Amino acid sequence: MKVLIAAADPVLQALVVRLLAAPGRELQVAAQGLEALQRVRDQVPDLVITHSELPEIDGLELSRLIRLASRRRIVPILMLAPSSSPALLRQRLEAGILEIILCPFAPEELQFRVDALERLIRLQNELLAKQARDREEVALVKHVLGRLSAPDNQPMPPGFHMETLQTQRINGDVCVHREGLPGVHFGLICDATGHGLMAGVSTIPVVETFLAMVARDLPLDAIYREIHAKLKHLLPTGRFACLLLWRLDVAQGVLAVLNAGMPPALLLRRSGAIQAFPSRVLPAGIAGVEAGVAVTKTGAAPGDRLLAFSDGLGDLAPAGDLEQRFLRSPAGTSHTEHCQAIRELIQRGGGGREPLDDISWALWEVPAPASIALAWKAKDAPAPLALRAGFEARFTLDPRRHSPQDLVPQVLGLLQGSQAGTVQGPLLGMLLTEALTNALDHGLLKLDSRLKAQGFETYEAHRKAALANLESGSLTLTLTLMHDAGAMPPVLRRVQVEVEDTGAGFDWQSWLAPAGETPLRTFGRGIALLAALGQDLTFNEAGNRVSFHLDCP
Amino acid sequence: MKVVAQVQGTTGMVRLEGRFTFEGNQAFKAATDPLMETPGLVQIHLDLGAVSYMDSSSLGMLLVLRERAQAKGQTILLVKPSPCVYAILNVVQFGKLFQILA
Repeated sequence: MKVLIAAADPVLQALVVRLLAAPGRELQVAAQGLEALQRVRDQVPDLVITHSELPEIDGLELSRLIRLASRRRIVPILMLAPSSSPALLRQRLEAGILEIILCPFAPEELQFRVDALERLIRLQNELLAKQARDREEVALVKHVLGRLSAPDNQPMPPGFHMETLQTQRINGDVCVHREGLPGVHFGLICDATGHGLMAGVSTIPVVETFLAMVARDLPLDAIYREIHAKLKHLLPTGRFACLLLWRLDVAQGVLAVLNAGMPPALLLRRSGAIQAFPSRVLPAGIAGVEAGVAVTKTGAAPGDRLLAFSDGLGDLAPAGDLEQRFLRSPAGTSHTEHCQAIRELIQRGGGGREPLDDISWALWEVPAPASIALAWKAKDAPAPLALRAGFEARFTLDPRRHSPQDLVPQVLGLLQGSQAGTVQGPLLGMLLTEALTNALDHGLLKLDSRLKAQGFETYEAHRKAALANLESGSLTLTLTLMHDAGAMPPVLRRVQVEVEDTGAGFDWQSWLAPAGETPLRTFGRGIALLAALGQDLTFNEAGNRVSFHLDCP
Repeated sequence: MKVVAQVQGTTGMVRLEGRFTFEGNQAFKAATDPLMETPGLVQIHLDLGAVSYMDSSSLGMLLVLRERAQAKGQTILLVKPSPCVYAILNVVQFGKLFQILA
């Protein structure tokens, strides 16, 4: 502990130093007021002991200036004074002096009071350290939640908006949009129990599971069950996550909603009709309860808007009232104006005070299906490229130990920073996952994709059983980065992908969608995706090796 | 938050008042922990009539209490929740976990 002693009288200085000298105490002495103030400015001490009468500025003024100089923490001040009166006492306390000892004083009194102040200082230092840790924790959680919300910084499509307004404490809200198959959009609003780091930790398995499963277009009830199982396994009793999950299939015009503990989501139809999707399922992760899972499906036409929000809004105003005000948002306004109106309502609802809970909300306007037809356009013949092979990497995967979902992030991580990673990363990741999963499911595990017609859970059950019985086999992924032949420095132009499995091959031709048929059907979608989004998709005759490439813009 | 607990026969009566949030954790535990150890107690009534607000942390506290009570063979009843609290319990579907006496 650093103690500054301000006293002009050398005898008093020496007496105080002698009385307070102890291991762990660093004593500094100043004979004048300004000198003492400069020492405080140089390094704020833990305790100041000042005599009331000092040259230049007296002890009272010194105390006032110390309080100004150390705004962020309280520096306890003990004054030694020859006299006192009620008026003086008031002035001294207002100046920030905590203790006053009248001179002459008993040596023990000074020691006892300094010991007591030392305990107070220790508590204050612990509190300051805890506040610093809390600030660091909040910054970390904000960073993690931000990365979870926008894992690849993909912008949302026009007409889609989601945001989370976090309180200073952070209460575990996160919202995520992800496009699965072209034209199929998934939304998630998650509100995990608790605050700070705990809430952030609870959110991570929710979002990661969501992202992994929507990439495979698994149904909402399966996604919920998986999240529920993970949270139940990972979190202690009393920790859970309220979820709002939805899937909008633009081509089919179908909206599916699963509400587990959130306020009702609302579909605001262009006609003026409103359909509510209230909570029908327990929040995910509540131990000891095998929840029934209800998914509500309805038709959704272009121009309809889905409005969803977390319970933070309910804290700003009575839920019904706020809901009514949202619903009264001007019909016929643009999506942007509607979003702005909601933002203003939230701000007014808070009345300028910080909300008690995080607030997440989403407003999605159903786009016209034509907008996704482009994703399936016939590919233009590319201009001939003069390319040379550069970097080549080969990965072998034992599916009994690792899944394609384990490998793909590692591969993308290796490519991070290259043009392949930054420009084509998300698309490449999806296609690698599809190609590897296809090779595993149909090449090694010999699964019939038509099982999916009986439900994805049936398919998953078969898949798990086949994987458990797999005695041998591996997948090999080869990536070749190809560059412009003449450019210096080399410019990446193409990523060539080859996936081979050790199985006997499969009848891949029967999985391709017949000419004119939409590939958005129950099975064969993986290959359809590869065919539509990869270039020059080619199978070998046996059907156990597939290659395609992606050109970099 | 103010929490008062007393035992009436085989029932523990806990009355909560004010905002039931994470800050009330210590008071809630201090009031309900002794009930877990009270011999012969078969029910715990949580009177939520004077609770003005609940957050997710307090819902978590209810789940923890429920689990501990189940281990002791006790049941938890949520009694007279205020309209605001009832709406929250309803949204999170806690009627599937607790008996709620309006």
